[in-house]
Amino acid sequence: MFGFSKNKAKKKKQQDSSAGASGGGDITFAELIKKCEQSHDFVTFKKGVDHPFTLYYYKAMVNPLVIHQILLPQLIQHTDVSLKKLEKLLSLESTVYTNDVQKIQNSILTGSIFICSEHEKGYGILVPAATAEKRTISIPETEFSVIGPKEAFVETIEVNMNMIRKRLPIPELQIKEMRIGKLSKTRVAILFIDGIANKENIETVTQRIEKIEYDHIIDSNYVLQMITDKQTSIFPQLINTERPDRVASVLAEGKIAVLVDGSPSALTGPTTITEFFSSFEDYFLSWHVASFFRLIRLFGVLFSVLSTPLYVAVLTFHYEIIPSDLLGTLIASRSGIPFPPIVEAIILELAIELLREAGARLPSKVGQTIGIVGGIVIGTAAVQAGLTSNVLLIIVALAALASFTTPVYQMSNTIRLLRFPLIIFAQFWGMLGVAICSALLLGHLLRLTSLGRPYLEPIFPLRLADFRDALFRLPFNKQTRRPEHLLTQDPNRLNKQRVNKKDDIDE
Amino acid sequence: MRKYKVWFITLLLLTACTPQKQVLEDIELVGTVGYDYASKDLVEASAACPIVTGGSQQATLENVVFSAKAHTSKSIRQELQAQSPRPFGSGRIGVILFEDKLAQKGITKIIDSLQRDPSVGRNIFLAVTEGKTKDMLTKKYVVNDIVPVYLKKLIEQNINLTIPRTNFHHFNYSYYGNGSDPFMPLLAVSGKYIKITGLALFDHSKYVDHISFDDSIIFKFMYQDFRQGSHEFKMKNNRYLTLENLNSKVKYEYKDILGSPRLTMHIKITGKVNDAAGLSLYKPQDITKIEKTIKKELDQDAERLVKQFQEKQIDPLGIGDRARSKVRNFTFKEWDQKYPTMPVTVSSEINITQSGIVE
Repeated sequence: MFGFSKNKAKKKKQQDSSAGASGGGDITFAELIKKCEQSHDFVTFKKGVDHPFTLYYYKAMVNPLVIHQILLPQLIQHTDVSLKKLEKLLSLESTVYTNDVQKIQNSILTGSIFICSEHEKGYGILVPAATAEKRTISIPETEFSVIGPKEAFVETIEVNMNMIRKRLPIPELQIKEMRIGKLSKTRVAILFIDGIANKENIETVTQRIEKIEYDHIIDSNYVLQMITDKQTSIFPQLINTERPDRVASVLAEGKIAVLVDGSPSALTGPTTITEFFSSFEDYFLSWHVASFFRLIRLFGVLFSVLSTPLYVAVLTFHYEIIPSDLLGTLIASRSGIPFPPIVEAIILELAIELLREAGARLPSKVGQTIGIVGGIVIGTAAVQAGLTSNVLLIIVALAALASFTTPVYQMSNTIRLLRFPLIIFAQFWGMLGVAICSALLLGHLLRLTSLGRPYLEPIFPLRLADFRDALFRLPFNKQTRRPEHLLTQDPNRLNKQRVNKKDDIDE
Repeated sequence: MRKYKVWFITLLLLTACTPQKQVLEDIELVGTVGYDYASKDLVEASAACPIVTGGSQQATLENVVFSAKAHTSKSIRQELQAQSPRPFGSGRIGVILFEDKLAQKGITKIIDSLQRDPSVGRNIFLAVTEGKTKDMLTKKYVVNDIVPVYLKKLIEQNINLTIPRTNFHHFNYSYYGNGSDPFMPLLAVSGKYIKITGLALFDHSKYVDHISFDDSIIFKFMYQDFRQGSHEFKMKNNRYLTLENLNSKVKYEYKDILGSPRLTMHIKITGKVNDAAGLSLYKPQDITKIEKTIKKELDQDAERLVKQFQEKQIDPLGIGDRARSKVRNFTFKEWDQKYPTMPVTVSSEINITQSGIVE
């Protein structure tokens, strides 16, 4: 009993300390100012010794134009007015007259100026004057498309919201905003279209974001990992996109998007595995071409995951199934190599991963050189030195190439990683091992959910209607209903009769 | 957490439970095996192995033949192993050859050990050779391929044309099944080539008879439905005509009336005249005439072949097996007595649909 209470006391203390770190608690205004003044960018400004008004602000956070052009002219003109009067004189919206220390603190820290008067102790006006440096909108880099919009999100949440609202100018597009992160107090916005998005999904996202316990949230990927259904899974369960057009499109489908201030990407969900293999450019191309590319990507994924494990399995266990005409070439290319197929495969796979990682970390100009040096020089040198067989070199290079066709970056990373357990299984049990590992993988995928909705849909549970925009894409006049797995409030996207009616020119 | 511990321990315990590794370049792949008669209960086996030379830039295959004598098929393997730098792998055997002399003594032992080996495929070819298999395997031929590849391709492409379908699986079916006897292609060395000289017919495990290469397509007409292949028919006035088969179908009409069985084979051939050697093909009557002549000749040839089988009391066509499926209370004891004297008639129907671009 005694131990328990002690524990509790300790916990209390911890809470207190954390409260201290975030700067809350019941402190007086004077204490607050004293605490703030320890930082050198905090300004306490008084125009002349006998001037009644004092300004408090963080130099780094406020726009100096507000002080120079709006505040100072008024303060110089009117030295003898009350704060209430002054508030009316200022040509600024949403100023606040308050004595709430907590509120004052939060506002100052996010870029407000606090004006105090000697005559009214404790009260003051909060003038919002926050300034934020914005990056100009640039073209999407990770989800580049040849045709279609060339806008990508930036780090400022207002700009991002603007880009989405511009595409969906309807009052039903609603935004729920909250602040998370003990230290960072990051603004997180949940976007959805009221009347389309499933209420339960909105609740799930809101609840999960509210429950986030972390000191700082820097990027939407933090949030992605924190609100994902199964954090132990290697598969991403929400899509992270930098394209506002994609976000607008999935919002219209009935999905939910999450924007995080300071992050140039949005999260969308609930999602299915097929969505990770659809590039947004698919919607800009004719549906035949788009379907073909989607199937190519799917093949690319299978090839990328299975080719090296199958090479290892076949060369280690199943020499029977090699085509007769390939036998000579394979034996010849393998004959001088001192390693068993598994070591050879792992060396080459790691080399490719090294190249990729080096290329990603280096500045783009040097990165290109790395690609050339790695691909051509190391590859051919390794074959000529007899370290690897040229057949495997081709397989590994093609597999790497195929893994890059996946349009979502997180998924393409997952796919690159997936082949390693498969290679190990292939080494121990041959094709049986590949089959066992694939079965385990499939079992895992079957159990995955995205915001509580099945991840493998429409393949499992089988919903034929949702195939219209999954592995292939049907034309727009066939996309008359929203995806079933989203359980939207309004399942009809458009009027089927009207869209399929052909108006003759004679009429 | 406990679940993971159990998994982890199980995996640790299973680390040695992996199959035997057979890395491709570390085994001696056998392409063809030949079995020869050495002396009474001594068999000589020759294994032809393709060996890669010339490095990865210009890889070429060469044929190396290992041979050894022993009493049983497995001990032959030991003997062969004593000569080879790498362990033998039987997973890529494409053709298995038997010397005619050995085949006449019976091949039960060898077949038994081969069909027990899971790494030996079932779509591989068996063949009987006239003369020693070792000589056939070691000889140099003018073709570009090495002997194992040559043999495999030779049988493979002739199965599409002239000789009936045959492989280890079909052999096993007719060997172990009742009411049928196996057959194999018969090969011989002819100059700088290997030639298919006909079909070797077995009485269960013993090679007892053969038919010529020309007759094998007649056999094929009776044995299976197929496309492709062509045959030369003799017309009046010593003229010859080649009929290319476009589609051939065979139906067995088996009747067992009061214990006296009777079989009629209906062969329906749709064909195309390839080489008419001066025969007139312009009028429909001419075509009908030719069809009649061909029918007569085909019926005669087919009946002659069946008669030959009946005399030798072998059943390579699997008539017994087909009869069994038609008759209630069928017994092979009864069948074996009735088969040699059973009347068999062949009734073919020839339909010439094309005669080239003469008109």
